[in-house]
Amino acid sequence: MKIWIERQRSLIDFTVAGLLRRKVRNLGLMAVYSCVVFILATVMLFTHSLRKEASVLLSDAPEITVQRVIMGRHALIEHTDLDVVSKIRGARHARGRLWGYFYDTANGANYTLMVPDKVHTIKQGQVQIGAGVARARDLKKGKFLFLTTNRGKLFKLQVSGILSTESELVSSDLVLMSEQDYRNFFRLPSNVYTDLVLNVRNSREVTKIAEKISAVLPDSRVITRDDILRTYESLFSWREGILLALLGGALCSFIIFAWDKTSGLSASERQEIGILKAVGWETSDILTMKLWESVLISLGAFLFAYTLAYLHVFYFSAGLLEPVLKGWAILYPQFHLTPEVDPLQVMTLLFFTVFPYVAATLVPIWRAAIIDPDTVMR
Amino acid sequence: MSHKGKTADRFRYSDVVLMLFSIGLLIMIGSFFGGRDTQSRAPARELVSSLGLSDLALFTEARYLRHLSQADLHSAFQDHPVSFDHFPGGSLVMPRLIGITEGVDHENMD
Amino acid sequence: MIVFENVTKTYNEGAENAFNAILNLDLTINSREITVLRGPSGSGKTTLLTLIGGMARPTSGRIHVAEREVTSLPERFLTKMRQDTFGFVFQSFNLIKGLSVLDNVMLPLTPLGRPRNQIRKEAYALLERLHIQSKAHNLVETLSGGEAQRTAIARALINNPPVLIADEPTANLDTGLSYAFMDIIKELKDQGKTVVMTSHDPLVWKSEIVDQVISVRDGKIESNPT
Repeated sequence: MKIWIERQRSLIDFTVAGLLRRKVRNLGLMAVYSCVVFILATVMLFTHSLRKEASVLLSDAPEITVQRVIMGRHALIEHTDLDVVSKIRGARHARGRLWGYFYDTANGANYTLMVPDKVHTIKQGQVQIGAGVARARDLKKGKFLFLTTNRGKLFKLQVSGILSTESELVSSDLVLMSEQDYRNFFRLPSNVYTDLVLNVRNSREVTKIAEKISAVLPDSRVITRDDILRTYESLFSWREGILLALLGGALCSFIIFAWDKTSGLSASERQEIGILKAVGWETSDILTMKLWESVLISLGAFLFAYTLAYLHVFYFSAGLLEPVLKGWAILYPQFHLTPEVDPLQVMTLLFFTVFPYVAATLVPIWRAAIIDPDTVMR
Repeated sequence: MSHKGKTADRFRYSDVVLMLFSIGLLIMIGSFFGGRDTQSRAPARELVSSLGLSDLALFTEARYLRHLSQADLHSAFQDHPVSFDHFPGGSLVMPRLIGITEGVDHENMD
Repeated sequence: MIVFENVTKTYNEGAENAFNAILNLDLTINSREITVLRGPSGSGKTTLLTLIGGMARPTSGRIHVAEREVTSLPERFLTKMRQDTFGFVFQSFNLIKGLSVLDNVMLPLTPLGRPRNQIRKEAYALLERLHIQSKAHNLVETLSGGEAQRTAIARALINNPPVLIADEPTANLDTGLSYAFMDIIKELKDQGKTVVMTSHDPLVWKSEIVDQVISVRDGKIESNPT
């Protein structure tokens, strides 16, 4: 065992010295390799942890949401419907929600205006805003937020608090205001809500109660918490697939490039293998040495790139992906994802980046390593 | 390269390489166990349950992207449920297939 | 003792351009002696050297090394025998560029799994013996011809093999260095090593320390060399 370890160490010494001899070529190779792995790993880590984040955070979302649909579109729901829903057996805490989407002409950003539940009571004339809104409008606690209604009327609201930055992934664009302000702002009659939410006494009966609601309110659409979670479970999955397929193509061409580079062993490499055989190296020694060489390059690049991707996603908020995700939005949440990694995904990436390269390099070496050592004498 | 070490290397390449690899592997394996930090999610979870939030504020450029789970089935994808959207964010997220393929709401909608 | 019995080496066997580098050759090389194979280029002396050193197999005939028949040994044993029995000094030295003198000398022992510090010590001692210890950490491409050859000799000796094989050792050296080389060979002989060299340099084959000169021409031994 000790001999085996010492043998490997000596072979690594030799391999590294050899790699350093062709510094530019090998570092270039590793850089390209790292780039491919970095992008793949970033996308994988980001989408996985974001999905995980969504499933954890939204596990506390309302169990059932009832929307009224008119002509295929989401419409305001009336107070009488709330009474109907409340009377369904098994339904608990049914309440009407007021929330809406607001385009701020001042800066082109979109806010979500919302009336909080009883817990977060907000006085008339005051608002609590998400950190994203505070950034977009450069607001601090105590300052005033001016909003223009769709009729051109100016609303002056004092910022009574800013929602914590830790919650920005769900609260970045929120503007929480009192019910009176909300209804005045959007000129809503007092008997309508955006939608209804309710809890269910026995969580196994969610489907049953959803069916009941559909029966008593045929013009409504019922969204269960499972629906929400499923929506976020599939978040990005199609684009991630396309992206990974494209990058898979990039990876393939890289492997072909690597194959091309290595299968045509250069004359100096052949010469070197001949010398090693002539001074007493066995074919297996040469293969082991070359195996180390390709493992050092591919695994080294992988570990390096994976570490970078991990730091990028979880410590630098995936800054390089931000332009893609941000799109045309003015408001973009600044959030830190909780480190969450799927080992199977990482091992798959590891296998598909390291194994083909090692295989691609070893075959031609093996062919060269079985030559007779006397070729160096000719 | 050492010019003075007479019988011993100042360092061996293999030691450096193996150490770097060990660190890399430890980081990788360590990263598999990173998701135990539930504390950092507490403020967001509290808001979700107290306000009854249903969506992530990841995309704000359109209502159906901001409130993905609440959006009308067809408002985002006017022509076809899986056609590309003209908002960049809309090309990243999936249209809601719930209700088209399965689910309780669709049967009672028509 | 190395004994050749009716050895033939044919290159490109079966092809149109097949030719016999060595033909039906008998030869005995005694231990602890210096043997020089001489002959014009293309005479087959380098091929003979590769056969002696177990780097190639004969097409027919038998070779005995220390009373052991080696022609039918499997590749692994042949490699082992090369490691244990022979040290090679090639005409073009065949040092690996980009590595230091010390690393090149340590090369044959690298895959054996012996503690590196021990190997280093041995390599350093050899370099001292050959008076190039000051170049130990230089890259081999910076060496002069004589230094490169000493490095090659040190590499050949690191296994402490009983037989040293050298191909045209003085071809790349000037007269002074050639004499210095012969001094090294004499020293090795005094230590009890067997040396086999090819050379057409009279400075080598006329030297008084040489015990046996074998003239090779057209793959055969000439009985009456001029």
